[in-house]
Amino acid sequence: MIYLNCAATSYDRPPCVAQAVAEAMAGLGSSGRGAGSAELGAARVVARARDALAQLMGAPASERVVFCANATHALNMAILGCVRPGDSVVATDWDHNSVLRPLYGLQRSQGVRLSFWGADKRGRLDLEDLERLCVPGTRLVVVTHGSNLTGNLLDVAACAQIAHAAGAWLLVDCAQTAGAVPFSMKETGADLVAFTGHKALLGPQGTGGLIVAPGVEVEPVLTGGTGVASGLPHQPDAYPEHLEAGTLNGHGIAGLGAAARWLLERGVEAVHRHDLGLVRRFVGGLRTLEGVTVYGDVPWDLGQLDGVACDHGATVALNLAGWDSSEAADELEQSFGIAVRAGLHCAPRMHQALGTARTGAVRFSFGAFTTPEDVDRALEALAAMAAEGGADGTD
Amino acid sequence: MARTKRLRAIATFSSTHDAIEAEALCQDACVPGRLIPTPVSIRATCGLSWSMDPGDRSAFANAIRGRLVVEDIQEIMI
Repeated sequence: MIYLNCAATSYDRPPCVAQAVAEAMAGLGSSGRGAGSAELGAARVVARARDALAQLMGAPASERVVFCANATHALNMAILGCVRPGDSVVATDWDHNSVLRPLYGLQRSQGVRLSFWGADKRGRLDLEDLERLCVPGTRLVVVTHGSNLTGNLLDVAACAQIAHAAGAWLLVDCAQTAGAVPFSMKETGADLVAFTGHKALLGPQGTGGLIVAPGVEVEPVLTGGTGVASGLPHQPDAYPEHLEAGTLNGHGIAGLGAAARWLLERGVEAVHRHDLGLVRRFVGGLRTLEGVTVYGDVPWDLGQLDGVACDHGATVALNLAGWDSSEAADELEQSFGIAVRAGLHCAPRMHQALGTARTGAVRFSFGAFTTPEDVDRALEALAAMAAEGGADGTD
Repeated sequence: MARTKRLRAIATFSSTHDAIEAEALCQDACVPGRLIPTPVSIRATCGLSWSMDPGDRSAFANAIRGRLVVEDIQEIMI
C-alpha cells in the first residue's frame, strides 16, 4: 500500500519507536508511583521524552510539557482550562472540530463570546482581520499552525503579537506540523501549544501533549492522582503534575520519546525539505492534468518553495472532475492501492470557506517515509482516473 | 536483620520531573546518592527524594545550580 494519509496518522515509523514501546511494556513500572527500579525506570523514560519534546518544540522548559492522549485532549485542556464565563475568544476557519466543538460548547453553556477569523475562497487568512477581531479583553486566540486540509501555514509569531496586544493568550494547534515544520514556542511567543504524538512526530497513537508557557493559568479539567502532593485536596500547582492526573501512558510516551529523538537526529528542517520536495513534485504533476481543482493557497509557482523555510505543509487537497470525492478515494484504494482521505476532514468551516462543504475533497498527505515514487504513482492514478472521467453509476 | 540507620541529607522536589532531573545532574557531576521514596517524616510535595551523605551537600548544590530549585533539604536518620 502507498500511504498518503499521513495527516490522519503515520503509517510508517522508525523501528526504534515500536522497540521502545516493547521494551517499556516488558520492563517499566509507573512513573511517579514509587521509587523502585521499575518505577524509577519509567520516570526516567518519561523525563527523557519530555526533554526531547521540549527541544523539538522550543518549549520554555521541559516541565511545561504536559503529556496527554492526543491533540484533541490537549486542546480541550487548554480551552476549557483557560476560558471563563463571559470571556471573548477568537478562533479561525482553519480550526479542527477539536477546537470548534469545545468552543461551541462554552458558547452554549458559559455565554462565551466567540468570533471567527474568516478565510477567503482560497483559504487565506488576513492578519488585519485578526487585529480587528482581537478587542481588548479577549481571553484567548486559537489558531491552527498548519491547515489539515490545504497544508497552508500560518505566521504564528505575528498572531502572538496581535493576541498579546489585546491582552489575550495564543493557543496554537500544531497537530499537523509538530515534527514536520520547524517551530519554536519561545521564538513565536505562543502561550499554549497542542500537539499529537502519532502524526508527523511518528510516535504511537494515544500520545500527545500541551505545552504551557509560564504565567498562563490553566485550570485542570481532570483532577486525581499525580504521585506528588498527595495530601492536597486539589491538583498541585507545579508542572507537569498540575495538568497530569492519573497514570501516564508510559509505554506510549516511551515510543514518542524515541520518535522525538529520531527526529532531533534527522532534523525537522530536513523532514520539512523532504516534504516540500514531495509537494513540489505533486503539484507540478497536477498542473498537467485536466479537470483537477486544487484547494488553498496553492504553491503553483514552484520556485517559491525553494529556500523558504516554512511555507507549506505536506498536505494537498483536490477534487477531480466527474468524481465524487469519496468515490475517488475508494477508487485510489481499490484500484491503485493508494490510501488517501475524502470527506470534510473534521474541518467544516474551512470547507465552507473553500466552497467544498457539500462535495468534500480528496486529501493527499505525505510524511517522512513517503518517497517521490509514491507521489508519481499517485499522479499516474489520478491521470488514469481523470481520463476515465468518473464512475458511471452502474457498479 | 535490622537496617543500621545513618544520617542522610534528603533533598525534596516539587515534581517527579525535577527529581529525575536532579538524579541526572548528580550522575553527570559524580555526586553520590540515589533517589528514594520520600520519608514520611518529611513534609514534601514529591514522592521521590534525593538521599545523600551530608558531606555531599555542597557538591549537590553545585551540580544543580542554575538548573533546578529544590523544595528543601533536611538531615534525618534513616
